[in-house]
Amino acid sequence: MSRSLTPVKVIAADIAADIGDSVGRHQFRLMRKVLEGYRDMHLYVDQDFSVKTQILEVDNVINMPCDFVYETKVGILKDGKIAVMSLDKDLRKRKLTDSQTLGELNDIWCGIGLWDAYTFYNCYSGVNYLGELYGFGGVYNTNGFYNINRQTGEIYIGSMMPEGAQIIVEYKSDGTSEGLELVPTEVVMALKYFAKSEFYADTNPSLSAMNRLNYEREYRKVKALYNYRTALFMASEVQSYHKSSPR
Amino acid sequence: MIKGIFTDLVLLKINGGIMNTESAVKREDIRAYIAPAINWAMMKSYYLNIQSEGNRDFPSQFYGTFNDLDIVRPASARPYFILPKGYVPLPSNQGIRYVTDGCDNTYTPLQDSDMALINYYSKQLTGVHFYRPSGNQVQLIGLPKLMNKISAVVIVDVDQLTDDDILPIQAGQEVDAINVCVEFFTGQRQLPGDKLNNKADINVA
Repeated sequence: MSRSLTPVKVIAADIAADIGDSVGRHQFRLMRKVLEGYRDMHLYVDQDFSVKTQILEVDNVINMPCDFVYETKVGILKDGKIAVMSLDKDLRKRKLTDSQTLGELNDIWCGIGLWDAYTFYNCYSGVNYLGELYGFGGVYNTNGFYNINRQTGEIYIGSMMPEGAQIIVEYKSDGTSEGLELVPTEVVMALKYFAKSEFYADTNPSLSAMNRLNYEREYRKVKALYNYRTALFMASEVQSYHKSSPR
Repeated sequence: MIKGIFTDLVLLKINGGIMNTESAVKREDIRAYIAPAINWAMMKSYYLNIQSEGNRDFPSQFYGTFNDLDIVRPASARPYFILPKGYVPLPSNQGIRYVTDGCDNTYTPLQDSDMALINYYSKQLTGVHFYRPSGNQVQLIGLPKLMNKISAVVIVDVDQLTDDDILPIQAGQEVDAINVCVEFFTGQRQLPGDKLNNKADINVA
């Protein structure tokens, strides 16, 4: 979906011009405030606004991007299909060296140390085939689990992955840390009032309070926009509650 | 008003309206004092404009434009360019009106307090370019990699103007600036010397 976007610098320059700053000496300060406002919105406005999907390099330990706040889904992408993984808090970080990996792979191919798990390519559970995406390797958990260390911003993958697969992570972004140039046009007014409110916070509290009120009004408008659902959607939701169970 | 006429008017007034060769005040003396007088007049008109219209602009006819300045890229420091002339020392480096490149990127000035934050925010504010003047050297932050020339628009320091250059005085402030200069040379109290520093020779009369 294409979006109408406005550069952060334009917002800052606009405010600077409004307050009579002819050379833009307050622009940097205003840009910082715009960033703060945008980060705030990113965290508290609807999911559609702030959830980001990123395909990351395959490894046992995945370093999250710097704008990562928390993950909403972790999955493996292979041949256009995504297998969503489950969180297992017992998983611990284990990063293998090349020689260890080689040893583990040899174990798999030779059938050593397989315990009661399944080799990756066959993935037979004893009852049925699990499919290739839930691979298995050596002593690792084989059921497609991951764990996350929020302090270090790392995701640990508990399964071996098929060749050519990619890790796909959907996460809540703070919206700014990875660099921000453009913001959605619908939030520009709110950001302007936020920046002005913060700008005057120390020097002119009454002006700051007035801008804060305007910001809150604009914030509610943005939130309403992002939470908007059509009547048809609501009707289908209600209808779904009344559907009879299959006979 | 050009600098040469300003100097002559001050000299004329000091001499009571009749130019003469015996005058103790020379043109060089006046030229040395023009910069403080003009800066005073500029700041006065600056604050008057803010009070009356909330406007911090200066008349742009006083702006000097320097195009195609070479950007220097040292190995261990930020890229910079050198301004060929000094600029009027207005507060917050407002003597530099703007810095721009051939791609219409306008650079954002940084203040002292911003410098502690720029390393962090320059990575977040992608696509925004900054400058920071330090003397006549202007550092550039977030400079596009292929950029090698830049333009700057400044109000040139009055000391560095020639007699044919226009002085940056807003209309209506010329007389005040002339009077400030004249007062400096004529309004000084005539005290006799006190070479022994015992006030004896002052009180002789």
